This record gives sequence, structure tokens and C-alpha cells, in this order.
Amino acid sequence: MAVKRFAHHFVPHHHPSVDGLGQGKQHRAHLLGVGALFSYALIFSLITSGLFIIRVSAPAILGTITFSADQIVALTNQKRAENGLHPLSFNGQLASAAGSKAGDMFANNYWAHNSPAGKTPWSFISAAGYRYVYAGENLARDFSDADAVVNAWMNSPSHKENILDKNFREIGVAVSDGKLDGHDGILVVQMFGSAISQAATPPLAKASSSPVASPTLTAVVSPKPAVSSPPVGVALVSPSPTESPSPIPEPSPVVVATAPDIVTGDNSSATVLASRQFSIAKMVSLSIVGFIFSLFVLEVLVVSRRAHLKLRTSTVAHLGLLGFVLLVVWYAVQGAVI
Amino acid sequence: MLMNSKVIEKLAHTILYFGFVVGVVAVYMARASGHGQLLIVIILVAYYLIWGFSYHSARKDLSARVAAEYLVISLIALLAAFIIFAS
Repeated sequence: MAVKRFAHHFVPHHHPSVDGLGQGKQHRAHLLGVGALFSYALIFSLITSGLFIIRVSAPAILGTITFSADQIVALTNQKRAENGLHPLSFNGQLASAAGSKAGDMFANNYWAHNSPAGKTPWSFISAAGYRYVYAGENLARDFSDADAVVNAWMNSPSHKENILDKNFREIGVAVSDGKLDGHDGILVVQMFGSAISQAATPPLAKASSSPVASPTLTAVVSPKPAVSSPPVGVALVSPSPTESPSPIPEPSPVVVATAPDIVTGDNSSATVLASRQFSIAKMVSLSIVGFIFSLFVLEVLVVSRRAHLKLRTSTVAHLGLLGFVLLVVWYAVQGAVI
Repeated sequence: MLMNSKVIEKLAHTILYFGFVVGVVAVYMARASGHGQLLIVIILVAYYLIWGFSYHSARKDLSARVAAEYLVISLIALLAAFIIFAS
């Protein structure tokens, strides 16, 4: 009897009729009653609020994981190797340009390839002294590990195109943490380039399918003294800009990186720290929604096996919505790329 | 008459699930944008609520209990989306 009562928490059942002779009204699992559902919603609200409060007041409680620019470079080259492409060499000027771009985004609070003041990605590259034939930029924000960043770029056709572009020879990456839109976050700026000195017949260096000899690290011609005008004929910016080929850009005024903790992947082991909030939130969501979904599935299974029980029509609708949410949460990726 | 009501039931649920399938495709297409995905979930929850209220009204079995059930499940779905995409 006690077992049966316990089972009533999980499966639909009939209560005895008032006269004790027949079966009374059909009841759903007690854990699927409106009161129980309301309790889950309440618990969920409390956890959500708690996570936000902790994030604002004491983010360290949630724990942190390390995140470095070197990892991004290594993973990018890994993806290129998997696609039969030559690896990209690290270039300090591109890394410096990426750091300046990240600093500018934090300083001017924007999330875009072009700044509100009209600065293009190419102006940062030129300002860093890198003279290019081809250049490209990928941006990512608010991811908590390098793997997720590179995977998100690989899942986006335009960003993947940059990563697997055979015209690029060099790479520079900056990973930076700071405040954007009022929230603590992490920006990843990935700059690609092919220096003028590396192009066989500049400026139209349409690479052949066979890999070209690996570029050296510092084959970049120093820029001429400052001319403030930005490069002319600057190209596509959205969604992930690639400029190819370009006129020889003149350096524009140096952009000073103002964001704290910019790590540019110059073979250092320095890292920024990312919160574990997303993974915790994902685990909580999957647990609560998954539990309720499982109870509804159990209801369908039990009803389909017992002739005296009827499936409530609302169950089908609830299963649909909860299943949809589970899928969305399961495949959710933290952060965004442009 | 019975045949008709069965067909209508199936049609109603097909419409509901078609919406969810469209939602899954939309979320996949907006995978690079957390805010876009959040917006899609909000739209889907609204669709589910409208469907639920219309469906049960048509069946004449829309009670306070049924309405509360739909609302609480919507709230749980929104919280799940919010905690993931707005964090």
C-alpha cells in the first residue's frame, strides 16, 4: 500500500470512489499537480535570482576557468590542419591590433566590427604596423572556454571561411575581460593577415590549392610615418570581415588599448578567467525541465498501457513545449560571434 | 461527428507541433545569437499559450486549473531560456 502511494507521486492513477466500490476520478501524478509545478517554478526562480546576485556581488563563488589566446591560436591551426591547410604563424603586430580592437570595444562600449566612430578592423591592423595583402577579423564574446569559441566560429559559415582561408598566413589573437553593456564579459578578437612581403605577386595573391611555404614570423614591412587618413577602399565588414586584396594601407593614429587584462597570445601562458555560471545554469535548467518532462513521458507511457486511464490532451502540448526547451538548452552555446 | 472531432484534434496538435518544429529550425538558424534564441523561445511560449487557451476554449474544458497549468509550464520554460540566454 505504501509503495502504491509512493508510486502515485510519479504515475497517473484513480483514487477510490467515494462509496469505496469503484474507481473514482483519474488523477495525474502528484508531482505533476499544479501545486508541484508551481513549486518547481518557484525553486527555479530562486536559483535564477541567486545566480544573478552571486554573479554581480561575488562571481568568484561560482568558480572560474582559465582561457588563453594561445589556445585560440592552437585550436585555429588544428582546424586548418584537419582541412589540409598550412598553419598560421603567430604575428605580434596582428596580436597587438587585436588587443587594441578589444580595448577599443571595451572603452567605447560596442560589439561590432566597425566602431561607432567609424574605425574599421583594418585601421587597427594598420595602426599596429602590419602591411597586408589580405586581412580578416573574427569576434566572439562571453564564451567560457577556447574550444567553445572556435567551435562557434566553425559553425558559422562566414567565420569558418576566415579560419580556413588559404590566403591568410599569419594570426594574432587577443582575449580580454572587462565590462561591456554593463556586464563583465570576455572578448576574443582574432585577426588574420597575409603581409605584403609574403605575397608572391602582390596584390593579387590568389593562392593555389597546394600549400604555400610556411610564412616566417616577421616579414612585415614597417609602415611609413603616420598619415592620419584611414585606408581607402576598405571592404566588407559584415558579418566577419575579410579584406582582400587591399591597397597598401597607411597607418592611422595608434589606438590605445584601455581594457584591463588583455592577453594577446604572444606565447605567454597568461590567461583571463571565465565564470562557470553558464555551465551551472545549463545543468540546473536541464535538471528541472528534464525532470518535469520525464514525468510527462511517464504519464504517456503508463496511460498507453492501462486501458482504464485516459491521456489528458494538455499533456501532449506540455510535452511539446518542454521537449523544445530541453533541445534548445541542450544545444545552447554560451556567447556570441560576429 | 466523432470522426470530425478526431480529425480536428489531430489537426490542432499537428499545428502545435509544426510550430515547435519551426521553432527548432529558427533556434538552429539563430545559433550565433543568444538574444535571438531567447526571443524565439519567448515567441514559442506565447504560441503555446495561445494554442492552449484556444484549444481548450474550443473544447469547452478551459478551467482555472488548466489555465494555471499552462501558465506555470510557460513560466518554467521562460526561466530556463532566461537563465541560459540572458546570463
